[in-house]
Amino acid sequence: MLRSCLNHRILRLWLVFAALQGLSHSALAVETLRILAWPGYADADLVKAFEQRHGVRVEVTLVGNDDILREKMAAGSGAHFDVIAANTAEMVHYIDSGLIQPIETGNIPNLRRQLPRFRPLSAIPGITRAGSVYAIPYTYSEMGLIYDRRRFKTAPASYADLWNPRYAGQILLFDGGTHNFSLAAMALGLDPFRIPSAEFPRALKKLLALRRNALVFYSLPEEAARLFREQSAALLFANYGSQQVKLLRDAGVDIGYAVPRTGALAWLDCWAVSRGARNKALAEAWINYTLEPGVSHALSVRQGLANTLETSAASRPGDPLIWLEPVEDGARRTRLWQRILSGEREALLLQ
Amino acid sequence: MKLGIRTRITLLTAALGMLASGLTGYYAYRASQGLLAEAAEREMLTSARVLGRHLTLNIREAARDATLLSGLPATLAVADLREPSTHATVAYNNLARIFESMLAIQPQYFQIRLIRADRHGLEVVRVDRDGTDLTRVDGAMLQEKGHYPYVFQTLRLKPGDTYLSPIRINQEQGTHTGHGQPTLQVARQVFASDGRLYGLIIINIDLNGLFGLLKADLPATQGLYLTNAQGDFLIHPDPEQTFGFQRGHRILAQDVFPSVADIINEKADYRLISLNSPPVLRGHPALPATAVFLRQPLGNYVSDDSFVLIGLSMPQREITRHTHTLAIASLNIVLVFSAVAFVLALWMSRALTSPLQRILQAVGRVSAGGDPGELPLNRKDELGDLARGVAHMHTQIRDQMAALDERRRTVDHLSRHDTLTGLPNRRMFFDVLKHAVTQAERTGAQLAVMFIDLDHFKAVNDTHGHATGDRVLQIVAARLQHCVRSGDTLARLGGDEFIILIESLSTREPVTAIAQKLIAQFETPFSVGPHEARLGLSIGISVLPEDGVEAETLVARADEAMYAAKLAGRNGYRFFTDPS
Repeated sequence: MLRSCLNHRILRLWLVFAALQGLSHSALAVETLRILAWPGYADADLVKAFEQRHGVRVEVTLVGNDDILREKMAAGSGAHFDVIAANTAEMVHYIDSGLIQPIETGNIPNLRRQLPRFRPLSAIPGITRAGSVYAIPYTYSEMGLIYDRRRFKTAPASYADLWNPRYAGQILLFDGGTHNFSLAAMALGLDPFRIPSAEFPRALKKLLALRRNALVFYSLPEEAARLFREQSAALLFANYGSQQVKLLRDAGVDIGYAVPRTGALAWLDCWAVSRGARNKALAEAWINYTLEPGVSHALSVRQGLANTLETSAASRPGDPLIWLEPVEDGARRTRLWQRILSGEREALLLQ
Repeated sequence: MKLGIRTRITLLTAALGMLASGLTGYYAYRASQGLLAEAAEREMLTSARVLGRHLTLNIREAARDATLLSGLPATLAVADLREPSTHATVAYNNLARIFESMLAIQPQYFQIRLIRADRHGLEVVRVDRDGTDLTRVDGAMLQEKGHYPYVFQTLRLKPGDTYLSPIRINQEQGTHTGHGQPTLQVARQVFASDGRLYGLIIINIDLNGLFGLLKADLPATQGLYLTNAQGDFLIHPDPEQTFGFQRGHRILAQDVFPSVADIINEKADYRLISLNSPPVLRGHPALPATAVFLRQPLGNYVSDDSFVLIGLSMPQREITRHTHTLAIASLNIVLVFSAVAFVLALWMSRALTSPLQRILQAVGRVSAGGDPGELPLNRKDELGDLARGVAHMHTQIRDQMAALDERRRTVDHLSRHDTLTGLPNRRMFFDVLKHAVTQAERTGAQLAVMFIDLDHFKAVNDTHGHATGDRVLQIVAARLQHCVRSGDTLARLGGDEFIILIESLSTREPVTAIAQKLIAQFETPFSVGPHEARLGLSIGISVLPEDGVEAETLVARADEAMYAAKLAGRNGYRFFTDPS
């Protein structure tokens, strides 16, 4: 009796041990996909569906701005993540620093579902190099103009309206040197991302004029929405795109949203495969998964961001979107912008 | 192991005493711990209130200064200038000197400016703090500020109102010391003499300078927090956590300290927050902490933020540090009282058991037949009763024993003596004789047995009665006793027969002398009351060793010699062996 009891115990212990072994073994065996992305790009329920379909585990790390994303990729030379999401301008940086690797487009059949705007990929600056595709567009937003419908009979057609003295002191602009220089360059008919040194004085004068025409420069979408309402602004440069449209409409403000016909700046976030990816095929499977109609649609519904499969309400297919590219000297633009914003006058600024 | 009652009482009472002091100590500690924690929280709340009050007072002071400056004649002189004017420089310089004086006496001001309403908010007179110096900014260095909320919002004020800016990092270029610093601005409109809105006076307040002084008075372990009305951190032990909204991502107090949301939503004025596992932040110890946050209204200004939140946090370790001291003090008290309890228990058990032991020893002595010795008879308690009981019992036992002894002695005497005459009886006589025979054999001495029978005694009994006979026998005994030596033994064998043992003889002379003395004694008649009797006596004598060497033989031979004497005519004596 005692003997059999003892045997039972040993058996039970052994079973527990075996189960633990099995657990740790399976934990090791389950493949993990490490995603570095922005809030809303890999929601828990969508991630779960992917995990179940592929029998893998997904680890999502969220970032809030480009600088942190760069930091995280730089640490470990990209070996800490398999898939990352970044905009086209940033992709140039990642390709340059060799932190991402070419993607096998054959593994992403859902590419054929994308709008003509995104085909061919080589037409989008910054995501292909030497015939290889490095990034797959996922979501985008144009930086359109929000306007007070009562004061505009027709929608503003161009960023040039930001300089229109009719709206002096009623314009909300974004406090960002890079984009504001691009706006100035476009107004001057220059390449928004490559302003020749010789043209800087003109660009500065253009920005001084922009400053004098502006009511205020905002940083956050909520701040912009509040100022637009409280100060009865007429025009707003929507750096955050449709997100800001939603904020104002939710607040019951009668606004219109226009994507300038003459060309609108737009950011385009893409997926890329890190150079240190453990399983490239799995990373590509994730990218393909996000281009499924259900997943892409969920992004638009939940985040108010345009996806690459469906025509967005804001930008019509023909709207000329100018995807962001790295600028000639971001630091210089920022430095000069800080001086303009501080209120320096022409004489000092052009010295 | 067998535990004595003393040990058991000691252990039990000591344990009880220690338990009582231990429990008292523990509960006192718990209660005091709560009180200390409450006191610490109250202290933090008070500190936070003081900080808040100080902030409000400083803002009020700045608002008064702005009001003062906006109405000064020197300010009006600038506002009234008609351009172009040759007086302009003088007017500007005058006002700049006033700004400088103000900055000199108000170290918490970064900057004072007069800004025009027109010309895109161009600065007219501006003095900046630059380290320990003051710097006048003028000419081409003056900037256009029309696109800053503090300008266009102040210009839209109702007359008499004061504008209070949100607290922000001042990122305006060329602001000297104020650049990159958390700043709060207070502004007032400036009107020209003709009532035209000329511009505004604005004072930049150094937030860190304001709090730095106060922070110096706080314990180093306390963390100071300040947030705006939306909860964005403006001051935080980790500077990285502040002004996130100016870097594109907001860092909100309600995300770190959830109940802060109640203050922001105006559900509460303050909240005490216990964080068992606070978020790990740089410069912010990830230790369990207690924090207090309270809403501080800033005053009656036109502002986007009508209040701020002031928070103080303290590691719980700091709060419990005092309770550690308390715990040690409590422990010491408990230990001392336990020791006292132990000593008391020892003393008590001793006090209780030593009388018991004395009584026990007394009982032991009594049962060993001795005297009980000292007993705690004077005690008024149960032990006294017990001692008295034992003493009483001892007295009773002793008395009974004495009575018994007396009885035994009487019985013994009776068994060896004749009740009538008090003389030894036959039994005793034979014991003495046997002893004397043995003795004589050893020493070689002679001894004699003298058998005496009264003559005519039967006639006395018959004539005068037994009572008289008995009385006569007593007198006979007395007369016989009178004749023997002190070492000799006279006994009554029964009836009218007596016997005498005479020891230590070397010759028969003393024997003969005694016999003659006896006979002579009987010549006197015996008077008993009215009666008188004459008695004679016949004496037979045997001598050791001639007549025998055994007691019985000696007595028998003396008896025979007595018969011979009686036959020879009574009232005479005869040796068994005639010496001649």
